[in-house]
Amino acid sequence: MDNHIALRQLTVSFTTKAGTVKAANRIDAIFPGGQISGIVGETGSGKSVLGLSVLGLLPENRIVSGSILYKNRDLLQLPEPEMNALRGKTIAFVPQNPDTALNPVMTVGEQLSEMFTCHGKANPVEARLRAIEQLRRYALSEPQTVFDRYSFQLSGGQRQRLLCAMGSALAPDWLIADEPTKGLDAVLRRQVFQLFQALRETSNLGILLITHDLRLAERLCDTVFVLYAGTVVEQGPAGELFAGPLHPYTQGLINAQPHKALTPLPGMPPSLIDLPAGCKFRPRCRQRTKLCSQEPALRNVHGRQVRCWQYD
Amino acid sequence: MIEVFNITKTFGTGLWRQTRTLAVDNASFSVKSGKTLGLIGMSGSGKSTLGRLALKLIPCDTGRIVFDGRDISNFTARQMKRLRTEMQILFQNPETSLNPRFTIAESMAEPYRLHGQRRQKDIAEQIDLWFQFVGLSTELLARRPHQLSGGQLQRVCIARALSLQPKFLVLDEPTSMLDVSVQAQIIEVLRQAQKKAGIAYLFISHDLDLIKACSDEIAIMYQGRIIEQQPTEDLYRRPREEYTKKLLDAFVNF
Amino acid sequence: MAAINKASIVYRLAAVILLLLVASAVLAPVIAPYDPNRVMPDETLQPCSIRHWLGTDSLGRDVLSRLLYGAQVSIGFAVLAALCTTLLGVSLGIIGGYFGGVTDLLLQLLVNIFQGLPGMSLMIAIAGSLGPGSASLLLAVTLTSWAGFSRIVRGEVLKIKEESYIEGIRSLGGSDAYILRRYILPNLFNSLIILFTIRVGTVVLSVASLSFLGLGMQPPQADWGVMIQDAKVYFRSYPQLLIAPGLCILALCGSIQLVGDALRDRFSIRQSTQKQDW
Repeated sequence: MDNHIALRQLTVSFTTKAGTVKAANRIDAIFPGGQISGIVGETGSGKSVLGLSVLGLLPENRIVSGSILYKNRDLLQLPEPEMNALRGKTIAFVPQNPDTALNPVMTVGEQLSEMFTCHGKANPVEARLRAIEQLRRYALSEPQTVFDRYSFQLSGGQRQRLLCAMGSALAPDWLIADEPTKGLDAVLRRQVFQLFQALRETSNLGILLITHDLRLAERLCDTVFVLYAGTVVEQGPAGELFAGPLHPYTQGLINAQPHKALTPLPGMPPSLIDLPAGCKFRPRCRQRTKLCSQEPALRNVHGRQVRCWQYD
Repeated sequence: MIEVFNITKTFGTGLWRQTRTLAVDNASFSVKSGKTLGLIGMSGSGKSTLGRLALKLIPCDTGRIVFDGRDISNFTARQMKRLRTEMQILFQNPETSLNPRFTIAESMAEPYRLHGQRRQKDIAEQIDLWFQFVGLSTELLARRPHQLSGGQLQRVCIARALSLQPKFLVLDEPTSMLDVSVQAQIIEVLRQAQKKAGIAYLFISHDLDLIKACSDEIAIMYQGRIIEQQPTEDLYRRPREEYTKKLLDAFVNF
Repeated sequence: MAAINKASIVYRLAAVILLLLVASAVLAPVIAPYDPNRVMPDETLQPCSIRHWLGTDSLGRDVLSRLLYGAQVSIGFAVLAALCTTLLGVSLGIIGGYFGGVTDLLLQLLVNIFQGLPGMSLMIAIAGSLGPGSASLLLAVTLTSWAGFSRIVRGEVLKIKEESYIEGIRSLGGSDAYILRRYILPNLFNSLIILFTIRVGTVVLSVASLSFLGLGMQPPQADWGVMIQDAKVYFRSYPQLLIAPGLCILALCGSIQLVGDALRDRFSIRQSTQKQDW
């Protein structure tokens, strides 16, 4: 039952008119099966790319190297038909922005049933029953009525729940959730949190949570990977990481939150096209030394891994 | 600085405006110079609408607005134009707040053009000063909005709003589309501006933690009504309404 | 990179062709070897020769000279007509789109009526009833095409009106006139350029068709459409009488559209602010 996902030296770049975007640089990470792993980062950190890589949904102009291992298969090497069979059924995706992720011209029922008829090979009648059951399970009240509605007739929270319902429809091994709380207010955010918690308790689903919402990651995740400029700068058990962050970026990020000190981090993250040499965080780091002109490696510290010369 | 009494606004949709939605229901609040009133509500509570009503960007159905001692409820468009320099708004999405066809310099010069100042040299000097204040490099002036980050754009918007030297600034979720670290930077700039010029702020948000950190008083908005308003400390210690207690719970115990 | 170069070669070629056409129109009095209406009865239907580079038509008129003078008429009229259509369509589109309300409803009604009328028939009706001549032609062409313009412009204005930065300018104190002048009109530029250039091409074709039917430019006016009409009887034996003006129309329509495309690309600023978030 070992269905962990392992990233080995994953490097993803994109060729664009402005230059080569190095979105992920030699990332090594293991996401344990049946647990919730969080990839935490801000805009320009490269976190969305990781989720898309696992699903094989990267755009055409990509250059990928390294491997993504799942049940002894390298997902990057899988031919498209096999990858297609995997998507939705074994590894499912909950995209960000419920407003644009749902098809406005199909009813809720049609979209949900599609999951069952396409992958599950169910016939329309069965699919309808299973869809309604799924809607009920995700607290979409009056599932029969919702089944015939269109997505724009649902509230923001309902749409988010629908996306999760669609994602987990086929009882996948893995759910990759891309910014599930983006643009949602506090009440909805709490609902999403409860949704994922329920998921974790009722099934053996592994969840890969990609988010910039630190509080969500803190409450929900078992392991957290902090991403900065395409590299993992700190990773470890969520509780310990948030209680006592080691990397200066993690520290700065946590302190910048409104319910903490709201202390600004000076400067801006580097452009992924023009990455600085050495430690990527050096230009903004108050604790920098001469050593930082070289990129540090990930070191084990107190049961976590940190990429900083302070701990070398 | 600004006092708003019993504002009500109903929106009508449909060809003959038959479907009516009560967006703001008999809301009243006041903000003093140099102070910040945090307005918190969830989506659909009417908080953004209330902000715009206070600035008379949308006409209200009933109610009185007293700005700097003057009753402006019935001011004409021309009277309002002169007043616009004293009351400004900062929007939620910095990426759509500026005309994509203008350079940053042109967008920054708009307030001056609109209010009759034509001397190019003076305008350029002022723009430079404001850019320094918000922490932006003047080399950004020649660029266009799509070349700047969200945080940079929001600073440009702040610089532009401040260049008119307003007495009252409505902040409509100014950081909800920005990253955590950038949010902290923007809040710092806004703090500095308030300290320097004594501007009254109406800080609209759905993030209670943020409002708590930034506001002197907090007003809770629910379904178009302001159900409670208290100084920040008091609100946390002795919330009066049920909804307030639920809201506090959602944040403190998240 | 190769694709970009190839494309710009096409655009440059189009610009050159357009320039040549406009130059010949302007310089026609200087460079035309003969008076376009000069009839040379003993030199009718001559093939291409040294004396007449493109031969002569059934009345002995030099084809090349007629083409050059025809350029004046065709291009000049087409641009004028396209301008009129643009002015009418844009003003009504802006008024309806920006101010909305009852005015918009009424204007939309008008647009729907005009768009519903069959273009060619309307043109024939107007030109026919008002009598042939440039003025009625201008009226006919403008009245049949302003509605489509107006509808597109209205749509664009509606879109721009809702943008956040418009609200921003209003909050800074901008009046409707200011907003229309500095924000709405410039943002319409992209669409207008394309609409205008397509319109010029369509007008040339419409005029040619009307002339072919005898309702457009009247002979002996040297107009490309008229030349095609004249040539229709003879073109089996003397195809150059048809091909020459036909190619000119093709060259004009094609080059002006390509140039319009290039201008739009050159001046269009990335409207979308959707940045890629990695």
